[in-house]
Amino acid sequence: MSVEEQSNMMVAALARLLRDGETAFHGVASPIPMLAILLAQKLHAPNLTYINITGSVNPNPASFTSSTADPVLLRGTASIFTLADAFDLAARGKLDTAFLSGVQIDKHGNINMSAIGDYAKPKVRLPGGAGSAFLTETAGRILAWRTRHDSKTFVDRVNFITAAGARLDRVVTPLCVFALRDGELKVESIHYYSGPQEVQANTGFDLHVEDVPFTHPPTKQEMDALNEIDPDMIRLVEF
Amino acid sequence: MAGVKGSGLVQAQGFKLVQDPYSLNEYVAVKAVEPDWALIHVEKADREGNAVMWGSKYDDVLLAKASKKVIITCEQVVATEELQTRPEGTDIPGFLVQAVVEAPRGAWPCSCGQTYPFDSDFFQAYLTAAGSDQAYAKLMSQVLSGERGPVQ
Repeated sequence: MSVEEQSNMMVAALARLLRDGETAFHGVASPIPMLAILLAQKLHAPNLTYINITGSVNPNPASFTSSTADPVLLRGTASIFTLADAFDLAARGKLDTAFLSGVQIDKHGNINMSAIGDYAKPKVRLPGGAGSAFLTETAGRILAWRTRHDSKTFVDRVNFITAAGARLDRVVTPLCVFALRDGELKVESIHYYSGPQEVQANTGFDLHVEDVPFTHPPTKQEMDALNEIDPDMIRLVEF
Repeated sequence: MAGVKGSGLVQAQGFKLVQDPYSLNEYVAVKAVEPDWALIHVEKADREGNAVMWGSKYDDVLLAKASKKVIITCEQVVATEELQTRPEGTDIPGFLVQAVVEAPRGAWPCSCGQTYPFDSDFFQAYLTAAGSDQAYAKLMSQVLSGERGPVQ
């Protein structure tokens, strides 16, 4: 399956999860959530409040770079709401949705952004995720995404719990949508171009994959809006 | 602070738990960070170090206020009188600042507010070079000699 189709499906699947009237935040290295928010605002969630790491509020970007911490995301904002402000908002219980990713995500929805191997003597030191540790316990819910779906990424147990999984709601991958239910990741839908065997073969823990519905392919309306927002295909940079 | 209690960082970093005397809730307490120096690049500053940032501030203002000493580098040194016309637009007050350096394109290869974008080509070159000590040393020598650098 082409990465174009995978990226379209991931953006559409995430956008559908966003609700009109809520407040949503993303950080650095987040082109797919950024586009999902802009798509949702254009379609079913015009009253969603969009905040992000640049400090803009409901920006109207005309173009993108591969960075989501770029000044292009300031276009159209009438105020600056800093990162500290966004964290305070979450601490007050007023941030509805935060987007996070992880190098490893385990079956309980825990996220590892700290180390592969032992934390003190890691095989690979990862970028870190104090912001993730904070947001997973303060935001109303976490929507996670990862453009790589394999058994090294989706593991039985993460090597290190950077961010505890209790408030993880969904994880969208190139193959499926996971929902965290009763403390475990369950396959909610499988993307139209994949199937039960592929999802299980690329996941490092046992799943129930039979009789799971397919994720509806991106609609014409979704694709038209997405192509208008992102004609330069910045949605491919995470692949 | 709120959150973080379920993270492995609490044990790994030795964070302590404290009770809020009002709500009686338990929170993670992180030791204050007090850097010796903060080095912050801004659009405009006067000779005293009064510094103006355009666009995103990230944690730079907090960083300046937490550090023992601050060096401001700026695109342009301006007259204090210019800042006095709109003091609420100054992000860092000069009395916290030890040194001011006029350094146009000083944020390169990163971006500076809305003045110039990050240098995508250089970051690609850096990513490629970072895989080998030899390639990395070559790239850094190109930077130090001025062969590679910001477009003026």
